[in-house]
Formats: sequence, structure tokens, C-alpha cells
Amino acid sequence: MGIPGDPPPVSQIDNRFWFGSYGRIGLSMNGDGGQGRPSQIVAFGPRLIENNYLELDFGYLAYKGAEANVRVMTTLAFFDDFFHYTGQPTSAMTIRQMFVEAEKLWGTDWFAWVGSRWQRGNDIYLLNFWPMDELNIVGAGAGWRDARSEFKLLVGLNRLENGLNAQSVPVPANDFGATEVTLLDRQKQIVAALYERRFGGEGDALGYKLRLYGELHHLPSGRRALDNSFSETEPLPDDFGFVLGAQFGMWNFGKRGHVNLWLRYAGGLAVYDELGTPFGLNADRRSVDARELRVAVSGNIESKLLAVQYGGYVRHFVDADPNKEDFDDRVESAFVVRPQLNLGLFTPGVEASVQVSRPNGLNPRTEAQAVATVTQLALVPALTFADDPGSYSRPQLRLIYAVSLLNEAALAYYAAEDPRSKDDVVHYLGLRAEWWFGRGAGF
Amino acid sequence: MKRANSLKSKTKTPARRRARAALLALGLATGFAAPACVDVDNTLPHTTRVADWRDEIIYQILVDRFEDGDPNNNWNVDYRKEASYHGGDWQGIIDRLDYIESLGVTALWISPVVRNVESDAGFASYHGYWTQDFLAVNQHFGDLSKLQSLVRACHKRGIKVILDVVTNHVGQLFYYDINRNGQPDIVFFGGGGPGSGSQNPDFPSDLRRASEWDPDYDRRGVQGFTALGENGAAPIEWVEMPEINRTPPNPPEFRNPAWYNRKGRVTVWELPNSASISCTDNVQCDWTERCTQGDVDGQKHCDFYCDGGSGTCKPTQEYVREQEIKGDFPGGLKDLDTSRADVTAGLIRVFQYWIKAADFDGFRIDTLKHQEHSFFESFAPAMRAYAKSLGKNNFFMFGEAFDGNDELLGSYTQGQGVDSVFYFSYKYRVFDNVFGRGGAPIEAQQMYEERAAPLPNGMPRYAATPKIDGPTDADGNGLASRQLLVNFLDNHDVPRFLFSFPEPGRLQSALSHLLTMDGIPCLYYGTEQDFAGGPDPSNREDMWRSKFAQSGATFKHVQRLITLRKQYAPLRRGDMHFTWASRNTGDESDAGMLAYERRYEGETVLVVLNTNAEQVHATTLDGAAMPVSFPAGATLTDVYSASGDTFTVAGDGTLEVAVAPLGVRVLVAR
Repeated sequence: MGIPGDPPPVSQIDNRFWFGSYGRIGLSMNGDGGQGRPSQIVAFGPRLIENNYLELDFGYLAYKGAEANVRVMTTLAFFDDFFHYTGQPTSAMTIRQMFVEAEKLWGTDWFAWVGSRWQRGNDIYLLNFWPMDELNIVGAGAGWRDARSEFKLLVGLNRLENGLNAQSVPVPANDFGATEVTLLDRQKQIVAALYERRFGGEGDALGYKLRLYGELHHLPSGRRALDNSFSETEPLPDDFGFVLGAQFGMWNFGKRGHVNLWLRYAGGLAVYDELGTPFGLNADRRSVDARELRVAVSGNIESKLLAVQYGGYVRHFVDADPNKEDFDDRVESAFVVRPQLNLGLFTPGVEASVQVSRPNGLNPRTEAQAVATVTQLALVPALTFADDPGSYSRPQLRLIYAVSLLNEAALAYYAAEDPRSKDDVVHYLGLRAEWWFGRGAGF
Repeated sequence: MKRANSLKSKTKTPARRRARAALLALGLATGFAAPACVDVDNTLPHTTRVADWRDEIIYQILVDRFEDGDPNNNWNVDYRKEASYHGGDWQGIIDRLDYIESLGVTALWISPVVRNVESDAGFASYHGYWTQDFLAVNQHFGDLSKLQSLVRACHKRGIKVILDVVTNHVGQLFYYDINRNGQPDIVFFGGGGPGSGSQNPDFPSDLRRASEWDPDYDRRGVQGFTALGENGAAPIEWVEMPEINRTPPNPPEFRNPAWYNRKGRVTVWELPNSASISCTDNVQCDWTERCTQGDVDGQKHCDFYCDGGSGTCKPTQEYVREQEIKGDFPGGLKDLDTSRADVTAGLIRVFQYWIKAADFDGFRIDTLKHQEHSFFESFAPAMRAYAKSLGKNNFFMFGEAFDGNDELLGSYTQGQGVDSVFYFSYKYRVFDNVFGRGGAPIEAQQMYEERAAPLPNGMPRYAATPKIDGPTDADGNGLASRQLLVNFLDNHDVPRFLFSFPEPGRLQSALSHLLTMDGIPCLYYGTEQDFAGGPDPSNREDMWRSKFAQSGATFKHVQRLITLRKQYAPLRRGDMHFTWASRNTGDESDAGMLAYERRYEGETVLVVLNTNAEQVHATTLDGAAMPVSFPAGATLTDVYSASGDTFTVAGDGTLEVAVAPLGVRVLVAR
């Protein structure tokens, strides 16, 4: 369901080379003719208005034998803007995945991999959000998978280039000039485990599944220099984090119907994106007291003519700093629903969404505590190219018209000088395309 | 003033309670405590918290340097540089209230809270005196609710909070476009002769130089000029450097150029500068060519005169005052024209906001002597009336006139102006000269007598009449400025006492006097930790480096004296009666001795100090002992000393008290 992140199993690969892709491209404008931009006040808002993005997957079956199948997988990603739109034809490109995986080890259901790889479960497509498990692991994993269950254990490391994880300072070289010395070198260690058990689901039978997920994060202690002579340093104590998550999913009700429910509770380092820098630390510069509780839902139900896709979450975040009244701490939620008519090639839809953010503190601009809301309604006439189009059928060409209504507290999220801070009604017009293929089986 | 209107109390609605219960249930279901929703508590019960300001002991805190309670607001922090932000914040003060309470002080004076220009010429605004936004908090220290939490936490412990406010100027938010090229420059014109590198030494043109950020004072207003000569008043240009928050001021009313004097930087001060010109008569001092013909006497009046004593040209007092009041404060801090009614009204509105927003108990007003008396005649009553309308009487305003001139200091206490001033003259003449340098203690008595003596024009030196709705005693009787002078040894603008006089004993002796004399004592943070920093910025040390120790001799000394001041009402509210003030500083038996009785409602405390650092001395000279008001035969106990030494008043009503070098005795009848 959603955009699968894993390549298909070897059994589905009909030759040694394998190619897949996900992409979204297009053009947009706002009511004034400027760039169309989302009005987003929550961590994960509706994805209807989003930037261009491209992933190219390349796989090669490097070995196929009685004791293992081995493949090499690479995902190349390009971030907006990679066209000549700006007159500066540059692009931000990175290799997001590159790993070697061996499966059917010794002829069993065990598998193992090493490299850079996503750990992604099911998402809320309409929010571009993986509510329980989304890790960008550089490390290794092992587990087994059979027709009914899967178990994975992952270990990974990262060392972000920020003042909390790494610090390099120039020192006089032994001969001439200067050389860089890495004084602070704290790798974050992440261990994640996933167990999934599926029941039913054969043919048209109702299927359901249970997924249990956990993460442990650890950042060792270190010292960083306050000046280049190392005359003064400050300690950075070790830090921890954890995630406990559960997902319940059902599918095969109605036509392509499915629903997923998530509950995720996280603490410390795991509250933050693992590629982001924790903020709101306590006086010891630790994140251990941070907490986040997420409840999320996503689903789809279809008939011959109508498909309805929906998703939403409530998230309560409290950082680790001593401020009880804190604008960073908040309850926020987003809910979105997208009904779509399936009239052959023509698949017109509408999307309605609401974002709500209730901070625990004062907005520093207005010095008031207020609930911010953004309500958005969109018309999405589209052409979908599939034999039996539905919510998840792609490729798709879309015309999007969206209008967003922002209340006063939402407008106050912008700087006072930002013209958007005065636009309580925002119009968006977009022509966009989205596709995915060759990315493994989903629902 | 939108912010003032946006501070609405939040009440808990049933829906909110249900949401909270749901989250709690969710947390319990997962086996963990769910994060809590928090309603910002901005309910501030404005009320009168001070019975009598003479009971208070003020503790001055430079917020950035006191304690770092929240590392998340440490933006642009660099501990290595004295002139950078160091990370102290309001949470840090909250975290250290136990320490503050243990010391015994009863009121905190915190450095300015408003949003500042971030930095200027490599110096940061950690001190808070470079206002950019009069109504926004400086996020280096926390947000508004944190400030409210600090005040609330202080009030809960009975500690009052005084806000440092700047009404004279804003930060360096504009420059004078002297050459009208639309960018800030250092402007040069002319060759200036051979000594200045002129290419035509025979007929050199005049060399003219000006910094468009901070040009010299010009009575006409800063003048623009080019190679073709002066071309009228230089326009001012607001700076747009958002990366350091050097942007036009807020609220927007303060962007009106007419609200600023625009005359350039003060260049003459009370004392003649080192470039003083030798002279033998006034004509030689007329280089300004701006002498005016007097309307009454028909005489020529110039800005400078020839001082016969020094043989140098000196600025007239009138010219010094003109520059002080209308000139930009050094560093290019742009001077508000507070003679204007609209500027005065604007400043009244913004500072009324802070009384309401954070429930402060008083204002310490910066750079008092750089503003017109008339401004404070409007500003101070408006603040008193507003505080009173909120239910807050005894709102106390005292100002900084950084000057040793008693007449100037006292002038700001007259009429309905500020309630009090820092007693700078006493700091220089008594704390520095007597306690620091070992001068004769008679100076203290002389200053006390001068304080009460009228000026030649018959006016009291310091206001002797209470202000309307001004500070009162516990019975509601008005207190005059003369009774409320704020005494101090040092502060963030002068070297610490221990830097100037590096003997802890002398510091403790000075503290003995500070905490037993009349008026309101004000202690600069770190004094109790023997901080010894030199001139600004070295005198703004990080308090956390002391580890907030409570075992040091000076800490215990201050703690003990404050305990006594709280215990004995005469030490707080009593009149001063000098019983011994030595003129001697040598080997005489009373050299360095200073004694005074504090009398209040029939109770008397006798304080005896030996300011001499070398020898035990006593209140006796040439066979004559100290007369006291206690009856003959009365036994007085030294409540300061651990041993409780006792002394008996002789039959002739005199008392001979010996005191160790730099020691103190606090004697009460028991």
C-alpha cells in the first residue's frame, strides 16, 4: 500500500537486471502567479502540493544458486530543482540506497544484507508519512521471511555533521600548514527490530496482520572544544532513545480495501528524525526526556466507480528542555480524505484536509497561545493510466486546484514580513504527474 | 501594542479536558505516561508586594552571565569572548533561586529583557541595552512565558523583580548618510596638509573625516557634506541586516526619524578630555564659532571657556548637559528626542506593557542623565498611575545618572520624577575613598549632612517630599527620595570593587557599611563570590564558574549582615546618627573608625566599623570616648560576632568599642 520502498523478491525478477522508479514532477503557481507552495503547519501535511522528486532503482541479480540468491540494489534520488527552471541547471542528487542482499541463505528463509537501506513499513500515502517505521540505515540487517511472517533485526550507524555528533578543528601540522583533527566523534547507534505476522488474505479472503516494531538509539559521550586551542572543552554526556510501535492492518475488504492503524511511542533521540539534529535538549544537552506519542490511521476503499483514500494522525510531542510552557511542544494532527471517481481513463477527485497544531507555549511572534488550523479543499481532475484504475494506480497526470484557509494563529507561523502571513486564503494551481513502477508488490 | 492585547487567559474547556483525558488513557494503554498538554499560565496577580522599599536588598543580575538553564537558546554563544553571549537565561535564574534566597537578598534587578540588535562591531548585545523591539523579548533568555515564570517563581518566594529599562536610546539601527550615497561609510574629504599626507603641501585643503555610524555631535544636527561643502542635515537611513536583527525598530511608531535628535555622538563629558587646548583667555576657546550673544546680559556665551586653574579650554556645564541630553550615546546608540510629547507617550505605552505582561515590581532606568527632567515628570507619574490601576502600589523607579555630582543626581529626584537614583557620589567618595583607599571616615558623615543640606538655591539636594502615589512605608506614609537612595559598591559599568581594591577584607568592610547604612543596598552578582573583574566587559563574569558556593567568607559575611538587617528594623528603616567618624587615617587610636546609630520606633542599633586595614582601633581619641544614646550602664551585645561580645555604656554615656582591622560590630541592647 502506498509507495513500496523495497525491491521485489528475487522470484519476481525475470532477468538479472532490474529497474524501477518513483517520481513526481510538474509545475504550479499560487493565486498571484508565484510558485505554488503548501500551507503546512504540522510535521506531516497533505502531500498534494509537493516538490519535484525522482528515484531511480537499479538492481542486478549477482548470484543465484541453491544456497542463496544475491542482488545488488541502488536507489539514486534527485531533489527539487533538477530541471532548468531556475536557469541554473544544477541538482541535488544522492544515493539513498545501496546494499547487497543475500536471501534464501542455505536454502532457508533467512536473509541478510549490508549497506545503506530504508526500513519502511506502510505509509499514509496522502501525507507522505511513515508513521511507525522509517529509518535510513547505513548498516546491516538480517532476518527471515516466509509466506506468513517476517522478522528483521537491523543495526546502523550515523554521525551527523552537527556540533553534537562531530567536531573537527584545524591544528598545526607536523610539518607545514594545518591539519584537521576530529575531536568529537560520536556515532549514533541504532538497533531496530520488526516482527510481522499475517493472517488470511488468500485470494479474496479477508487478510489482516500485526506488526510490532522497536528501536533503540544510543549516542556515546564525548567532549567538544570551545576553542581551537582545546584550552576549554565541555562534556557531552551519552544519550538514548527508544521506539515502541504496533500496527494492525486489514485488507481484502471491498475492492482493494485496506486499513492500517498505528500506535507509536518514542523517547529521547528516537523522537527526532534520525537524520535531524535533536532540539529542545535538557540542561545536560541530552534528549532523554523528550517524548512523542503518535496515533495514525490510513486506508482505502473502492467500488467500480468510486475510490476513497484517507489518512490522518495525532501526534503529541514534548521536547527535553526544562520549559513546560514551550512553543516547541505541541499536539498536532492532520486528516485528509481523497474520493476519486473511476471513469476509465478520467479519474476526477477531490481532496479535503485539515491540519491542527496546538502548541504548549506562546508563539514568539504574537506572544499568544493559540490553536492554528489550515483547512484545504482541492479539485483533482486526473488521467490515470491503468487497466482498472484506483487510488494507487499510476502513472497519473493531474490538474490540481486547491484553496487553503489559514486562521490567525496559522498565519502567525510565518515571519511578520512574509507576505504569506497576510494571506488567509491561499490558491494553488498545479499540473503534475506521478508514477511508480518496478518497486515491488503492494496491496 | 498588539501584544498587550493578545495576552488572553486560557480557560480549560470541557473539550480540552476530554482531549487530555483521552491522551492520558492512550498513555496508560501503552504503559507510559503520555506527554501533557500545557495551557500557558499568564495569569499574573498584579498586586502590591512591597511594604517599604527600605526593607529590600537588591541583587543585580546580568542575565546572560548568571546561569545557563536552557542550552537551547544558546544562539551565537561563545564563552571565550567576553563581549559575546554566554548563554545565561531566565531559566538559569529560576534554577538558582535557592542560592539567591539563601544569600538573603529580597529583590532582583534583571538586565533588559527586550529584543536587541544582535551584535555591533564584534560586540554582542548580551547586556540587553541595544533595543530593537520594545515589545518583544530577547529570545536568548527565553520567551515571554519563561519571563513570567521567573517573576512568578520569585514572587512565590517573596522576592521582587525589577526590570532594567532604557528610555534614552535604541540600538544602532540607523546611520547618517553624510555623503548621501546610500551606504554607511567612513567619509574622508581633503588633504589636511603635509602631516596628513596631502599631495599639495603648499595649498592643502582641510581634512574632514566622519563615521556615518557614529559622527561627532553637531548642535544643528549631523550635517551632510561632500567635496563641495556642507549640504544640510544628513538623512538617516535605517539598516536592514536581519541576520543580526539590525532592522528598523518596533513598534513602527519608533521608525519616525523626527523621534530622534539626530545630532551625533556625545563628545564632551563632565571632565575635560585629553585633547584639551591650552589657553589664557576665553577667546582662545572660541574655535567652535558658535558662540551666542546672550539675550539678557549681552555677553558672548561660548561652548568652551578658559579654565584659569588648569589653563585649558573646558566645555561649559550647559554645553555638557546639552550634549548629554541630545547626543547619541557612545557606540552609536541613537538618541530618542524625549522632549517630544509623542515620543514620551510611546515610551509610556511600551513600558506600561511590561508592567502588565510580567508583573514587575519596579524599573531601574538606564542613562538617566541623558534625558530631560521633563521627560521623567511625565513618564514616572504615568507608570505609577498605571501600576496602581493594576493594583500595584509602591512601584519603584530608580535611575542611573552615572555621575559623582550630587546636585545632578539629586535633580532627577525632584518633582514627580523618579523615586530614587543610584548614589554614585557616595560610591566614589565613601566606598571607594574610605573603604577602598583608606580615606578618613568623616567623609561618610559629611556626605550624610550634605544630603540633608539645601542647595544654594534653597532646593533640597535630594527630594525631601514624597511623590504623589510614590513609595510609602508600611503605614502608607510617603517616603522621600532622600530616604530611598540606592547604595552600591560596583555594578556592570564600573570595575568591581575587588579589582580596584584587591583585598577581600576591604570588600567585606565596605559590605558591612552597605548593608547597615540607610537607603536601599544593591549588590552586584558575584560580589559575594569575590569576583574581581576590571572595567567592562571584564566585570561581567560567568557566575556559574563560582559553582554557586556558599562557603566563602564573603558569602557568609553578606548572608550574616542581611540576616541582621532583616532581624532589626532600625537597620532597614532607621535614621542615621553618626556617633563617631574619624578624621584620622594613621596610627591614631581611632584611625579609620566609623560608628552610627540607626534609630527606629524607639529601637536603636549601633554599628561600629574599623575601615583601617592594619590595626585594631577603637572609638576613642585623646581620652574622649564615643557618646551614644543608650543609657549609662546599658549592656550592648555584638550580634554580628559569633562570640556575642558585650560592651557596657559608661556612666557618662560614652562607649569605647574596639574593632579588628576592617571589622564590624553590630551592637544592640539586650
